[in-house]
Amino acid sequence: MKKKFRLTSAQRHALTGLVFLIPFLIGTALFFLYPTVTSLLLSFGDTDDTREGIYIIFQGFQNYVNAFTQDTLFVPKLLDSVETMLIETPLTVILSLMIAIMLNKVQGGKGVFRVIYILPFLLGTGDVMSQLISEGVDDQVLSLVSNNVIPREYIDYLSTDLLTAIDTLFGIIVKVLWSCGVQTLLFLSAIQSISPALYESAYIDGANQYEVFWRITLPMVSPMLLLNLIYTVVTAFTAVDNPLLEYIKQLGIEQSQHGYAAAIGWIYFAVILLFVGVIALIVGRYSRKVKTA
Amino acid sequence: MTLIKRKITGNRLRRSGKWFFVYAIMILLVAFTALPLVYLVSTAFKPLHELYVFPPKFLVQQPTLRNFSNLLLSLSSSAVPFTRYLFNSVVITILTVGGTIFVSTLGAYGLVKHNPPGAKRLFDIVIAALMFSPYVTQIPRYLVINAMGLINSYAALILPSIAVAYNFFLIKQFVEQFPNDLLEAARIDGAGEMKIYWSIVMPSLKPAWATLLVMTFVSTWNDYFSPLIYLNSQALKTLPLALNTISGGGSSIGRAGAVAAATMLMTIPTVIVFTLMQRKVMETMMHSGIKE
Repeated sequence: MKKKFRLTSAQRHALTGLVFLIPFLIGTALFFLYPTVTSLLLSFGDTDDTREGIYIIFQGFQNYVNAFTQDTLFVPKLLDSVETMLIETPLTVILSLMIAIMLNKVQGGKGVFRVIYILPFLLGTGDVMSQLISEGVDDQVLSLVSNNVIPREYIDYLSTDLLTAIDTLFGIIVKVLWSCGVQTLLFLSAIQSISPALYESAYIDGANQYEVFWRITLPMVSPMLLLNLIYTVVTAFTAVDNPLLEYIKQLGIEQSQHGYAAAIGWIYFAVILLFVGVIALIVGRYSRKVKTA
Repeated sequence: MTLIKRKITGNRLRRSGKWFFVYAIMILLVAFTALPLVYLVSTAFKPLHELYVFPPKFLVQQPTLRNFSNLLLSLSSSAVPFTRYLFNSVVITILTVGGTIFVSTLGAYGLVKHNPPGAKRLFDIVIAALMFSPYVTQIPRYLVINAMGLINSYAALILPSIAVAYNFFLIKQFVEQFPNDLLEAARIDGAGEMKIYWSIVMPSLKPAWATLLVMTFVSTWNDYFSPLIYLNSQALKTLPLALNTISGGGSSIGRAGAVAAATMLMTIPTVIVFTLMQRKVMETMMHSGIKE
């Protein structure tokens, strides 16, 4: 090796790492960082359509102000997304933890159960699922009322409000079940990494199932709980049928209001960040408490 | 000792007594999770009048193969042969999956095990990118791809999906658990860095990239949005786009059956890929898992 390039072995080691990272860095810079920074700039103005390429006419905070004062659609859609997230996240996490605990107990047919639980995920990322949802499979097809699951005579005794409420709840649970495959697998991995000796000794000491869950299973899976919560919140906010994302898509691509679409996108990002931050704070504190206890 | 033993087995028996209950709930839940698939398959066999029943019926009443013959008919009448769309989809999916596996594993290995300067900052960017919806950056991204002259090429679909934050994050979690001693031993034996990556790191990361393979395959194969914006040429269109053309943009009532049949056929490859890879995927999740 030439004298000029003599490096210590540690430096050479770090340099190799950098070389290995180059393809990822180029990709991230081109297709994430640059577009992200541009969209941030764009959110403070609008594109100059008379010129080729990206020329931004800056308008200060105009787009952000407009989103809250002029746009009658944005705030309801944002609140709608937040509401959906608030309903679906706890349900998803609780259901996936329950399923994971059951999967862990089941002896025969484990593989079959696992494949079936992940199946909706295989359909879920694509056009197929949005098509199914747009056809109302989640709440209409399974509707108790329209499918005569409950005989007509009984329906008359129940109020329609109650039935609609049951149907809505049913629809939400079905949708949650379809989207909890990944979370279930992550919980399962966490549960299976808990030492069986811990359970055995707890049972010997006379602990019941309830105590074992709260004192052993839940604390031991709490790191995965945090990851799953964040994952669920982010997927709930960026789901295929999210009304706000559809609105952004419509504004930015169909109506060419690039600056405004970017501003709404950034507000949305800030909201997601806020929720993830709050969750990380709460669950992080819980896991720390568990660790020190 | 015997007392303890009896107590443990006693507990096992008590737990096993609840098996029936657990199985019952599991099967009930499975019935629900399998619904989309059942609906998908049953819709593909529905005759036209059943497709437009409101409220939609879940199961097919009079199954028919007409949808499939209609699909064949509309495929043979299209200007571009169907096999061309299939070819496009297969090429794009394979290159994207291969590319992202290579770039993510190489990068994550470099980041975690070589710790280059700025590693922590890069990881912060990756975390931020996880929370970022791609729609927001869609327009600037389009402009980047346009400036690179990639519009109307396979590269426009492949390149942006290779360096993906989520994929990188997933692999990174697994690389972190990889023992350093093994790498040191290989270095002492005189293995080059590329050799270590290819013959030691990659085989051990098999469960991790098997997971990534399934996830990327599913999302690329089903992607409708990107081909729609980046491709204009009919000959370059992928299967999801071709599907939409068959359905007449969703407006043609008569072709709804053909679309249902095509949608069902479209999902078969993803199910096959998952079934083939599932044991490896589960291994990942079970043995190494994502740990803090």
